[in-house]
Amino acid sequence: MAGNIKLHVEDLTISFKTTQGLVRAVRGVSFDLHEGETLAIVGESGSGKSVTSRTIMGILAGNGIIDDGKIIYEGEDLTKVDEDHFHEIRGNKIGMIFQDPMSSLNPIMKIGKQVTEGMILNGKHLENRYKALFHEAKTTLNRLHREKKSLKVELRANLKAIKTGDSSADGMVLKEECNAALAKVKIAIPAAKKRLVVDKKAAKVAIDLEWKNEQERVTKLVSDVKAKLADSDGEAKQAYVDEIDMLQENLKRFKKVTKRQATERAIEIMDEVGIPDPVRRLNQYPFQFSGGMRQRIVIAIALTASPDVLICDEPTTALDVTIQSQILELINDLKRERNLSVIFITHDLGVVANMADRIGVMYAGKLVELGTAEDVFYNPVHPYTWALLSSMPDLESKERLTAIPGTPPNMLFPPVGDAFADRNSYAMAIDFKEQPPMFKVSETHSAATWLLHPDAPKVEMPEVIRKRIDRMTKNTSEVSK
Amino acid sequence: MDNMQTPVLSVRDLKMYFKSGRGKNKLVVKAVDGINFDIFEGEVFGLVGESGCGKTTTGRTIIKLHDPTDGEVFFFGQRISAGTEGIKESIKEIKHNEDLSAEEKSEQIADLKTESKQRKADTMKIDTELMKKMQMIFQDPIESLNPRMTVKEIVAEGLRISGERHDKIINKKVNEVLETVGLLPEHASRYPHEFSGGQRQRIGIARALIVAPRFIIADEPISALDVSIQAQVINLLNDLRDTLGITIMFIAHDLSVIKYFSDRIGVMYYGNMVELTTSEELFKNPLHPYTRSLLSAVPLPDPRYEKNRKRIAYNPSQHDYSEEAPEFVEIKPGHFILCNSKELAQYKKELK
Repeated sequence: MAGNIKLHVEDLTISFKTTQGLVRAVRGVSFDLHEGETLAIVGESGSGKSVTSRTIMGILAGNGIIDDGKIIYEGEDLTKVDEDHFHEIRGNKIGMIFQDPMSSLNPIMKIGKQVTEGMILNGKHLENRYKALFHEAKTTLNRLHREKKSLKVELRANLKAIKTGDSSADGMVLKEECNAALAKVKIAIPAAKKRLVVDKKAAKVAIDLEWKNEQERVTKLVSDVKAKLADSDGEAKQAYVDEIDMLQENLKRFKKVTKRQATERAIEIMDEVGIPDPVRRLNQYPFQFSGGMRQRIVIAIALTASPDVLICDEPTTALDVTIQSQILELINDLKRERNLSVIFITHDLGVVANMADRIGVMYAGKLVELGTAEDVFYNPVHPYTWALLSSMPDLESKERLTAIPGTPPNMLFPPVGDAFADRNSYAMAIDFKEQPPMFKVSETHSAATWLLHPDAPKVEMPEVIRKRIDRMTKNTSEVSK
Repeated sequence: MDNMQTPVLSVRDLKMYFKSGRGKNKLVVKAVDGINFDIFEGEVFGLVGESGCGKTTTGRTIIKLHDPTDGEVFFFGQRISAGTEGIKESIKEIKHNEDLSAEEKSEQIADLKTESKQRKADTMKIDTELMKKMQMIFQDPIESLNPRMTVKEIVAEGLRISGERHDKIINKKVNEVLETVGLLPEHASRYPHEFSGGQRQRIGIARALIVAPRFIIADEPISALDVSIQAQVINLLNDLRDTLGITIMFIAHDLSVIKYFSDRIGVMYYGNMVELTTSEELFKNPLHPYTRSLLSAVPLPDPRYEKNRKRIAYNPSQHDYSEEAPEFVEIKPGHFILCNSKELAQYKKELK
């Protein structure tokens, strides 16, 4: 299928601190996102799908804790990246479209400003270059500080161990080692600080020089044109005035993204996402847009920075069928044109079938089934996937719907065994005692259910789904004929 | 179909305009612009359309949460609400009509005025017995329940308003109705926030059921619920129809659900009803271009089908109504469509 792995999530575990205790929102989620593919994550509200995506974006709520796990993007672990550096990734590399277009736009800010805001803030070219020049020195210093902190923690733990007499000789050795390392770091820190100052100064000089040279160059050009301007008239005069204007604008653009440049780009992108008459639309407020148009604006904002990973968090839940269909088409088109990798979060299985190359089904903070769209829809193996599929009517279903009894578990007290066991009519004794691991069904398809264990009794999927899959495969084979 | 003779609800030329501003700022939003339909005993009538097409306004106008601008609503043969805007306009027309003599004018105007008075009186009249027969289930189960009232108070409110005073009877009825919707009697003393979304919607349904209605307007009862809960509520509504024989008007925008649940479906577009027929017929023979566009946008849980699905775009300017205005006509028994005579001929051809 698709090419390289773009994003690798491994054993991600997230909990939230609340007054009642720790809410375990995500409990060990692992998946890969390949280049140019759409991975859909399906699940009920509270299953942890939004939390996962927000963590990838680095916008986890303040009381959220990443207990464990890695998110590898371009060789970097996003869970360990500091806020300063995350600014360069968030938006620029990984973009996000939010659920509710009503609340994700500022109601008292003109659309134009909202679309260009990101570009202008990110587009300070000279400042960015200046920062890049001493970036290495800064990260070294930060790293040393972090090391010092962790060493201190380690040392304290060792001292405690020695006091209680847990490990006698070993503890002493460890303590010595820690002390030595700490001393080394302590020496290194002032040196790093000095280096940072020197680098900063050098960077300032270099950038200033560059800016001065550019300024001089442009001033010279402008004065040349002005000389010509003095002895010309009519149309030629206007052309010269325009040229001066352009030169000055280019000079500004050398320094940063100007308002004019951002507006031009905004119009381009708004055109791309299918907003008619973008020039007029730029000057309007969000309330003057319909729901579908508003969602297009949100998509345009996400695209201004040309990300290569796009996270869509239920982008069509607030929209009705026709508009939903348009937005999905738009996302698909953009994905093809820009070779985006998309993580698509939703609870609507119909939408998933349209969008996804691969599907992950989440329940109670865990991925319970992961496979290609065809795997999950034509050969579902997890009882929760069965339940989801059979609880929604399609255009041909007549029989009574099989509702999932009960409600999802309270994640303050995560169940010991399989989280779905309580609501599952196929649950076995072991489901209440132990969590099932991921069993492989095929190369692309895996699911976490004890039913796939070689010792488990053979269980067939419910009649309703079996029938529906037969019907679907028949229909599609007819179509292909 | 022998029940064809006794419509539970008839809507005739119903219009609901919302006006705001004065003078040059005056803005009239035609939320519902002249719709006609009948709902028969024991059926589920689905109303579908995109957001803002007036389906919720239709439901709210029928249950008299709005007073209609024009048109009439009949419930069990009795006129429960009617608008007078049309009469005002015809009075104006008569006044400016130069073919009529002054006497004829005053006579006609007097007639119209009595009619107008009658309509207003009908709209104002409060008939508790009749009122009890119609109930509504609202969209958002969180917003529609008062957080400071216990479930018992919420559910019993309708009963109290309709004149029941004895606590014993109220308690008994509340417990009964809670059981009908799958809740337990001990839930009666709790507050809405203690329930999950699906259970809250059940409370909303219990509140509607307690006065033993014959007709329920369900305004998107499941769109605010989680997938796994949606099926529970649909099953519940289905059971109510089967066991209690309640007639339901089901407003939704999810076509698969509406197809599954309704006997007949009306498709609305910008305040007009564009097509009305049985659900089988609608999905087999969609005639109006808007219906086709709507059906082509339904996502199904079938990836191979989805990858090939082509959405049909609908552009209202494809109709040429400059010469002849469209009418809501019956193209074949039970299948109504909004079109003019030229389009009718074309649709008839397509039907064959």
